Amino acid sequence: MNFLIITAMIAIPVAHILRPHFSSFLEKKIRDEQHSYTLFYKFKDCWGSIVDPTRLMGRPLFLFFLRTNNKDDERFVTELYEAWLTKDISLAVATSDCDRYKYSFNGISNRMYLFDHRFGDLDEKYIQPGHYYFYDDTGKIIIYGDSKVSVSFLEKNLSLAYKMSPPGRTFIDQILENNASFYCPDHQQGKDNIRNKIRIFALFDNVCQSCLEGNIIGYLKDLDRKAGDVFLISIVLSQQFSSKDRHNFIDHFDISFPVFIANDSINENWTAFKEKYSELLINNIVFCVDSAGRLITSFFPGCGCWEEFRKEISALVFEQRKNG
Amino acid sequence: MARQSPFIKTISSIPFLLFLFWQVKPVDEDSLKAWQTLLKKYPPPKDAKELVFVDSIPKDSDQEESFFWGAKTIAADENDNIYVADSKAHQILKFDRVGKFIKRFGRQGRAPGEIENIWKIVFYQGTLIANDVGNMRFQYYDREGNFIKGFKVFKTYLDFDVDSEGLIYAVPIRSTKSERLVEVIDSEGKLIHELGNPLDFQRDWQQLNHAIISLDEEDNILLAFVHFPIVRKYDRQGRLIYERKYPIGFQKKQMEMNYQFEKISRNSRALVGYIVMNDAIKAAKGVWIMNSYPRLEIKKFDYEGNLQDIFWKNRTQDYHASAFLLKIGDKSGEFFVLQTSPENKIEKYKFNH
Repeated sequence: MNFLIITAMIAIPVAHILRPHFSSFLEKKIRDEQHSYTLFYKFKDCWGSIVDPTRLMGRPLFLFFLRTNNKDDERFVTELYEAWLTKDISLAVATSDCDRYKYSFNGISNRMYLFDHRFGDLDEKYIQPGHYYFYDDTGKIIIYGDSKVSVSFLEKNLSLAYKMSPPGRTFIDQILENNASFYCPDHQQGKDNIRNKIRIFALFDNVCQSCLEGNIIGYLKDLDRKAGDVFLISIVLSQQFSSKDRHNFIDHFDISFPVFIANDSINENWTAFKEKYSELLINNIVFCVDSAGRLITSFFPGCGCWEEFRKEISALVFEQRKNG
Repeated sequence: MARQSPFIKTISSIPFLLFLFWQVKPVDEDSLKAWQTLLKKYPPPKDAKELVFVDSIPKDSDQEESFFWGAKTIAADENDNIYVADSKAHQILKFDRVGKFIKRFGRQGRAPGEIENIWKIVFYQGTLIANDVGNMRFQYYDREGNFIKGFKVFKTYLDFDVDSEGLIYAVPIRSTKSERLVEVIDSEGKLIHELGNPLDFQRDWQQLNHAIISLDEEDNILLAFVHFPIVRKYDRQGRLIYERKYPIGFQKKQMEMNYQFEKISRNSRALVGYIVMNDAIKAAKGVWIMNSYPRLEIKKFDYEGNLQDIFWKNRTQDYHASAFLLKIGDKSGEFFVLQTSPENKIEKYKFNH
């Protein structure tokens, strides 16, 4: 009984201290999501004027904002055209009138929908030219990025992102919420700083130092040391690990960022992945998520994209530091 | 164009058939001849003792439940019950001292107590410790197969033994050249320390350093290299007590060939290293080393590295054994050899010493 009272005496003030951080984090997330919904539905209206809107219903949407006379963008659209992703996803390119005509002429419009680049008063943050946005069928952005990435790499990421919607979407949310509780006590010095950082988390069911996991952990440690100002890094271990295993893991690899064991709900979704897709998706998944919880990029064993993943992370570091 | 007669057609196809025959036939014959040549070239020494085959476990007449599928390693408890780890069945089989099947336990899976590819088992004070490689963990069972506890590890271990205090001495698959040969882990999975410098190879430093481990009565560590007839002895602090080489007969040739492989291999890894030692154990104040090619041989050395006895038995060309146990009396003893090819069973041999 005494133990419970003492625990409550400690836990309540701590919860009060941490509450503003959690609530502001969640508020920002909700605000960001509202913007993305707005864009999605505006786009949907626009779509409805050209094609039968029922074709869009219940399908995720890949939307790219093409810049005029940009070689990266042109390559990106051509690659999209040549290697179209999956038939379950609607593909659309928003562009200028002039480019629309050009691409229609080249026959690209047979595989993707081309739209006029006029969306009124939408927040510019969500229509950055040269960027793509991938929405789930409810209008939530689940992955985005710029045209510098190769389509084959994007395709792999999209396939994972697509699989995460649902139950994957809630999966990432759960990890972020769980993750936040691990970060806050250790990083009292700058809540705002934490809020704006990109989150990287790796999920491990087994850890073998000489295998891929060893490479990932080494890379994350290096990234934490060199780009700790940009990323919040963490590792999620499955429930195969006990709390002693977690301690041994931290000691063995000399890890200074948070490592936590998946709670029941994360574990449930994680197992659902395995049952729905394959054993591959229970070990060695790495997610890179922006401060609003949207997936920027990911790595998983089947994608064979470790080098590309690392390049994209490097590009993110450059971009974030450039933008201050 | 003139039509060819059936006779000419037949004649013209002979070179092709001969070519096919030449391509297919010599493969088996060559390896068989090579094996027979080795048997003649490297006969057992005159004072070596031929093993007497007694029995096998399980017997052909036994119930199917007792048969092995992919057994790789064996262990015995204080009552001489024999435990067999079957890495394909993901189970452990228990037999009594006379080889009567008692039970099998464990099943494939990731939950506590379940197994995913088991590589080694060791008995320690009535507890069976298993290296569950697929799940990257060590698991503890009682004699009846009830799960006691387990912990995760972060390396794949080729072999392990347990000292008198329950510390695990394990040989990892090394991922960097600077890693040591043995890791000492406590019974909660915490890494205590590392010991043993690897053999110095430039290219195939990983595979050519694979070793078998065993602890003697004083908890000194005996490390036998799989690809070289070299045994090292370390104390518990990791100080090297000695390194002995046992280049005898065909094992000497194999050692030379493995050194040569390392020298001439232009790739980052040699294709294969000849296995010089299949298993090594401590028992009856000595080091016992087993190899199964070209014949089954078990050699006994004293702790100073002096050869004391050689036991042998001619088997077939495709014979392979992966582990053995020793039961020794004053004048005679028994080997329990786990054959993995062509059959998978334990062979019981008698010997006098």
